[in-house]
Amino acid sequence: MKILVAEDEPIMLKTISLRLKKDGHDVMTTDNGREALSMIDEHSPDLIITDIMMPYASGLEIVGTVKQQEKKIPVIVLSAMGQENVVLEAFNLGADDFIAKPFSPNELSMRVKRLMAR
Amino acid sequence: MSVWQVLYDLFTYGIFVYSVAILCFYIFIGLYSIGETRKYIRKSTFSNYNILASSEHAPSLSILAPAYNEGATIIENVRSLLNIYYNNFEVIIINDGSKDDSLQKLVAEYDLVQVPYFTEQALKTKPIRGVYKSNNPVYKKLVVVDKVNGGKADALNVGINVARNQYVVCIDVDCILEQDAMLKLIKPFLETPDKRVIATGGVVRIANSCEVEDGKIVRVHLPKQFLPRMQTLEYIRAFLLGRMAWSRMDGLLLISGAFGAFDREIVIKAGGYDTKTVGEDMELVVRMRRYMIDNKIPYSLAYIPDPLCWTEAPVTYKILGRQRNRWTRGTIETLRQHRRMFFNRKYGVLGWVSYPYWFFFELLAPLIEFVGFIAFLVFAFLGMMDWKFFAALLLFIYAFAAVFSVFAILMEVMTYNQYKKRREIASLMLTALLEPIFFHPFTVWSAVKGNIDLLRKKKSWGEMSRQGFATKKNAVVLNNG
Amino acid sequence: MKTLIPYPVLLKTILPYQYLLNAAFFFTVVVAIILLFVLFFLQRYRKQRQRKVQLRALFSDLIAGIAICESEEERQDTLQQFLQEHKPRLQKSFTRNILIREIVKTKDSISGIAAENLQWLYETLSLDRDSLLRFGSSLWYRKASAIQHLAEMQQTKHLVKIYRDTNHANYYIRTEAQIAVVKLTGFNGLRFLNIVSHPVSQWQQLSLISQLQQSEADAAQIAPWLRSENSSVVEFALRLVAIYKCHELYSQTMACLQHASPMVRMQALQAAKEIYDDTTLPRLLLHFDKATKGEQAAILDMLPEIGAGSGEIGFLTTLLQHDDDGIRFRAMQLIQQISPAWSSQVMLHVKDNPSFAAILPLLQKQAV
Repeated sequence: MKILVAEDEPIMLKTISLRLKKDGHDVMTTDNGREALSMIDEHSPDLIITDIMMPYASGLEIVGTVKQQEKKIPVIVLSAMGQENVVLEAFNLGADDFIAKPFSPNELSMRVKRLMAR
Repeated sequence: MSVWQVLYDLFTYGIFVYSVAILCFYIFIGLYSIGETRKYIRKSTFSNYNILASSEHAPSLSILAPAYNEGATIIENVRSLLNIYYNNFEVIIINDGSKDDSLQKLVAEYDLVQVPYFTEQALKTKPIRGVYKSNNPVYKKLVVVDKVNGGKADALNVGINVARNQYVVCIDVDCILEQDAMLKLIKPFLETPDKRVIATGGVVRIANSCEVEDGKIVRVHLPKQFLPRMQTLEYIRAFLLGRMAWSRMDGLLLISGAFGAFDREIVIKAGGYDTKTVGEDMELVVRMRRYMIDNKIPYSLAYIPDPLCWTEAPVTYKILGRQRNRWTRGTIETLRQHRRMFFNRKYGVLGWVSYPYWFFFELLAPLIEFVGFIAFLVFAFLGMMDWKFFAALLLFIYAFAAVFSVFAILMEVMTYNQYKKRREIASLMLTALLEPIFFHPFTVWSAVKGNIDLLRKKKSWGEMSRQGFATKKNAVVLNNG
Repeated sequence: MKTLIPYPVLLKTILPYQYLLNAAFFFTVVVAIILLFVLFFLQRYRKQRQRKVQLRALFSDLIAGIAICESEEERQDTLQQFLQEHKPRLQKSFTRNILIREIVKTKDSISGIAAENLQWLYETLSLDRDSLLRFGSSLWYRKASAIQHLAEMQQTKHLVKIYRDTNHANYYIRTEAQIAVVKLTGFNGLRFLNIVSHPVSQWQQLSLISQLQQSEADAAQIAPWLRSENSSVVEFALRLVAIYKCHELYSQTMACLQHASPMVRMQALQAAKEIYDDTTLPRLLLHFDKATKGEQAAILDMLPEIGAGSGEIGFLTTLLQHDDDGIRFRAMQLIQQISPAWSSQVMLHVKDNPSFAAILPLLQKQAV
């Protein structure tokens, strides 16, 4: 399973990617939104996990862009911005799941599994 | 003693006292800013700004960006504004009757359609032609207002009318913001419990020669060109020493028009931007402060020393001259309009320190310097010069100027350290030594021209609005003090 | 800088030539000293930065590795592996402080077992001792950051000490201590509000609320805060009333509409919106004329939610004479919502009224 993780905080990025690798996934990482968008085009991952507050392009923009493409790659939004309006906006744009920080890496792993099983 | 002798004595003593006062003030500013800077740096080691981004209860804000013929860069600038770190905000682009295709470009790129929109007419402005919003939910925070041309102040007033939120952030559309800029700019509004914070202002830094990608500064460099480098030094001095000290005294008269946040309600009550002056940013702050004092409401202003906003500085003498000329006129107009504050006890620090400082050391300094220079020529021509003493005096002043600039560089290095290469710091030091000789006379001359223009064009202020403000970028008055 | 002063005959007597030269020489020396210092500082800064970057990279591996551990054994193995290679490094307090910062920062966005793992790491390396040392510092910024670290790492055993600082004279120590006790004990931590004599800034209120998220509220505790002499405490209590929907505090909340502080009154309206009952609407309408314009707008905005209906048409129609076009517009919009028929009659009536010129087209568009 090819998963793209976009998150600008290096330790978080490392933690998430280690956790997912433990589950046997193939993980690609980036710390900014622009690179994430180009990696999506280039590698077409099976799943995207993205933060909202990132340099160049926000996670919400990534969701919006991905969901306007033909191949609707599943997206999990992972953000400290857990306000209701942000969550609703993320789902409105087509996000498949929303996890608010502070989050549990184990829970993330479960949600990934569930999403992939669909 | 002849009359001439008396006049002559008055002249020399007057100038001497004036110079001593100005030197003392500079020393005071330099030393007084240290404590404030240190405190700020220390507290930011454990401040968590993210609460503001993640709280449901964070105040709402409207970012106002007036645009006049900015078609070349507007798409990218809007994108970077929309990607700012904040939750509860809207971006209002005010198209001030641009003659280019700015509006068409925005409509195409962001999928905009005209919508019915209620705007309070709290401030009187030129008419709005239409309000546009995006069909694409990704851009739902964007509002574009198309209006009849009326100049920057008028465009900002329209923005203030249209804004739905508690705070308005006024920025130049071509500024490059750090992504956490809004978090830092808004925090002081919430941090001063027993006073109403009416405005907060940020630092403006010079972006020439910096590496920019997709509307974001990637790497900071010292400008390679001569004039921008001189201005970099000026900005460091003004923002790191001057503003910091003024903010500590609670005597700030200016929040740069390129980047500042205001309490919308107070802006409206104070009457909004004045469309008749070229110094609308300074004038508004002074008027808001007067409003608060006149109505006896406890208030304060905050200044954030972090480099949050980057802008291109003029590269040619012609444009720089025009900019300084305009700043001079703006200062004079503002001070004239608010002359009641001059040594007025009611206005406290403003009346007794800020206003007199601006009057004597910002407004009069170039004129006095200029008169001094003329007098020097006359005396030299008449053979009345004591050259040895003159040389010593010149050396003294020059060395003092160098100390002040070098001290500012020291503060920059010890705080934000934007220019990390040793070569860049060396170059900045050299700039400090060259500035009094090559750059300063030019700024004096521009200021003198500003005075002359103001006297000459007194009656034809109406033309202001038609000029637009394409060249009014980074309208920050740089007060060293 | 200013170059002035021409031909100075008299000046020379009070300002001898030699003085000037001496001063100039002194300034030159100062410039030289600053220059040398800057160069030295840059050198040191660069070294330190390099070290920091290296350490951060090193620690990020450790922290991420520990965070995802699933058993005690795995934790021990991961840590031992790290210590085998890097143990000597951890002796320097500079290094340990960087590690603390990194752990704290990570813990802030992580929960569950991973968060427990980080706390285990912090305690196993005895980093709490470093924090405690900092806590004892007389420098406010050290102390404040230490409080933050201890709280983030759930060091409940130091709660009593931290609680004492919740009314500290220093703003930063006080606020960090307040956040810390709430972080450590949830809603109960808020009992410092009974004693706090300094204002609780809005920023602080947001920070406290963001710490409260999972806690249960106790209305009996909130009640006295609503009567506090510290108006910022009242304001904060009203926020809590709104968040936790404390219906039992309804009458106290409505009483706050008369409070002297405008911030409190505004917050009281927000709270009333969350806990309204049948009496709220008439009471707010009674209050309307005494309210400021901002409060009036807020009241109008909440009317539909608190059950305004055809009974309020008369009141709303009188508001069409109001001198503020924001209020007029809101009144008109409400009329439109409640009774479209009446609103079209009203619109016919006001269509020549110049004060409606700006908003009428918009209202008409909405009516369609």
